Amino acid sequence: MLDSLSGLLFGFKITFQPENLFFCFAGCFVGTLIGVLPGIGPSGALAILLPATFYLSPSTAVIMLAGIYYGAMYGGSTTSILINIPGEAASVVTCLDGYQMARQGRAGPALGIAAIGSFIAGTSGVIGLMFLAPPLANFALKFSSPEYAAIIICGLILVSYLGSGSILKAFIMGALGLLLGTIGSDPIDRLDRFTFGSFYLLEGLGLIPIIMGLFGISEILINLEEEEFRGILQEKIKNLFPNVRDWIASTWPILRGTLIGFFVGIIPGGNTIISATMSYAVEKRVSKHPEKFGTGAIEGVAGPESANNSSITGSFIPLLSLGIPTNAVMALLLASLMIHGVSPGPLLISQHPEIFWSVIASMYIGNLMLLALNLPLIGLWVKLLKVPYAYLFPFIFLFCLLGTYSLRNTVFDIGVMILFGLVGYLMRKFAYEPAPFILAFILGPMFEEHFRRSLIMSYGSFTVFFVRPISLVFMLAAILLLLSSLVPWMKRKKGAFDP
Amino acid sequence: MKRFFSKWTAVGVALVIGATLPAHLWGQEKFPKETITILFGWGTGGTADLLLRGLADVMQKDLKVPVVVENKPGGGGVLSWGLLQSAKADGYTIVYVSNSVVLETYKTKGKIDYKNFEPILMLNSAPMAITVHVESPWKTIGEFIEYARANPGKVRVGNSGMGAIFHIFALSVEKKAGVKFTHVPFKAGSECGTALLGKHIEATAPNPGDMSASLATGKLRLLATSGDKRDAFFPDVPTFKESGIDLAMEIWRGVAAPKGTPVERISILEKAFMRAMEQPRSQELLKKLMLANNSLPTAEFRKVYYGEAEKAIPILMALEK
Repeated sequence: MLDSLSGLLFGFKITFQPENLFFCFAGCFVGTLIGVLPGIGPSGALAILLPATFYLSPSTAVIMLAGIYYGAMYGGSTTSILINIPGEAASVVTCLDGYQMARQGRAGPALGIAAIGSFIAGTSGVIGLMFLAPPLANFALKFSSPEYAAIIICGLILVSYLGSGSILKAFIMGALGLLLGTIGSDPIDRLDRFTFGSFYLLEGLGLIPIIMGLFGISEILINLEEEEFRGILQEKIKNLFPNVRDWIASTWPILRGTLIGFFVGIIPGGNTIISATMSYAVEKRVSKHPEKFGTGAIEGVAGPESANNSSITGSFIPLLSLGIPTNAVMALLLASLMIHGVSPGPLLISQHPEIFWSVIASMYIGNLMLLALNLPLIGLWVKLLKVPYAYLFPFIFLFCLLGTYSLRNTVFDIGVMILFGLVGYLMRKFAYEPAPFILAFILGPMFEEHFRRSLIMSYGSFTVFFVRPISLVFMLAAILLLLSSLVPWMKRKKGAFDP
Repeated sequence: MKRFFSKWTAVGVALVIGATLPAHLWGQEKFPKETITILFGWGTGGTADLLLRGLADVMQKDLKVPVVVENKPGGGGVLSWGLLQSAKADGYTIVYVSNSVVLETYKTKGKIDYKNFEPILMLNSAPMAITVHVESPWKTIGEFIEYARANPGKVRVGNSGMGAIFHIFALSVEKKAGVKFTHVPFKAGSECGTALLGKHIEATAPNPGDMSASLATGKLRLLATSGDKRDAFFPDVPTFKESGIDLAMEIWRGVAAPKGTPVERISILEKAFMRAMEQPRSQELLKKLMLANNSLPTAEFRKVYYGEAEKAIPILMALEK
């Protein structure tokens, strides 16, 4: 414990050097921009900026890259709340209630709670990282495909919680997501499915073009139906900051979201969207008024936003202590460390303590910087909502086009985006929700990959999911989740038979 | 007015023709004079991607034109090769190739054909290895093979894609040593390393460079490498040949241009890449990415490139049965 504190002080000493402070800020700033601009997410940006970090010292490079990652997370929530376009995959969940709050004139509180929740989660995550890094990293190694498959089953069950309307329609969307997720090369044998000979479909329909289409383009189309010349926000802006009631409502969601996100982030493959979705589902489940979710419940913003930030810090644990990247962004960070001659692993802390502790210290500082960057801008962002939509939407559309094209430099992806924009428009007209579709679309292929690989690893035996302790726990959790949704149904049935 | 117009028009036209005449007279334009695009068929952040970006950075200053790497992930390289097949053969678009381009020729039944490309140079080649956990009971490749022979199908060997080069390598080991493994496909070499660290599989087939993070933990042991000579980064690890198994395979990485690209332009590109590789910064990058400095110029690379088909395709064909 004392060791950790002295290490932390050492880290602060390094981070407070002007050069490192500057790059921390630069990273946060660039990251926020990237997060706000939909499309090119943190991994794309990191890859492009990687060569620039060659000239920096290892600690400085990692400080800047970590700042970019965080900044992107913070920035992603801004567009989700303001214009219903997720800055990156995990922000999809924030759109659900955040955008509704914006329409009611409560964009300020939404942005504020998102920023503060993220800050609390990020900082708590860093504290967790400091003290829990080595033991937790070893725990992460015990996870392999059977465990991931079991976790994803839990995630898929949560799909129904993401819809606020008809459960049947949520399931239909989920099924559609699973179906469209099969397009592409299959994850095990690499055989092509539904690609119709197109090279572009080999990796499947792109997630980002679909998200931009379903959320962004369809929103533009719906808004264009309005004949009045107005901004997104018709009512008066109520206030810029969360009021006391908001704070009270958000406290527990933030705390729960932080914990959920942190632990999901440690698990390799546990990514930000799973954390955010789990947090949303949990909040809806424990809430006294679940029907409010989807219409602007602040808990639906506070929980997921905290979860996706703390999952980032969680995902640093396997990287820094074992050298295992748990997702694409961590892999890039790993690459950048290796380019600088630093091999992360158990030896990192002893051989390069300056890197480990300066990264941790910079996370604290980075979180503070991001809070300082984001809060004052809230007033500015909210003014944006008052701009007449006729002037605003061409820029939104341009954003979407740039973001989608930046992924693979192909017009094909733009075509996918527009197609799903039209589909999304129709979906809204008939009250089908996009969120369950997106979750199933992401989780379906992941599940197939891990499920089939588990069966290969177990020589064909299905008991593999129940024989291994960790996956058994998650399978039981999944069964419990299913049963718990049956209970209210059974109660109602019983009631129907009462005289 | 009309006279004025026609006189000055004549002067203008003469100036324009005069200005462009030298270019026409020059015949061949100077190459390169605009952006060179290197297509890369996977996502960002992997070893090859980082190497290409580092080289592109150096080449920009050398050739005085932008040199950019464009990621076109799709089908394990197939999208990038498909795009190159329809690109203009003017030397401004080139693509990263590896053994996979030959494997994909067979798998796509010729939709992608390695014969549609002109090899420019080989950047690097690396041997593969059978790697196990240090806590496993096998200290030599001989012990490992013995166990595998006594327990057919029980040994799980990870690779980074069915039908890709590391899988082919594992299949070759099976054939030459007379054993049967269970092949477990992952999405990347690093995933194989992680699974091995967690003892979820018995061994892995990818080259050590792809699993560097897991190797750095010191918990993995290489049993044998697949080159003709010992791997410079692992001088204590014997080759398969030394251990009595007649196997020699390497993964090679290079760049190629569309068929029909003028020979002079290929030569210019080849020399530019070679110069970039010799820069101290590139040498350092190679070391850090655990890549040997064994690039090959066009002539030698052509032999490797066109010779791959005879080696790999029979194994792929046997796999289909």
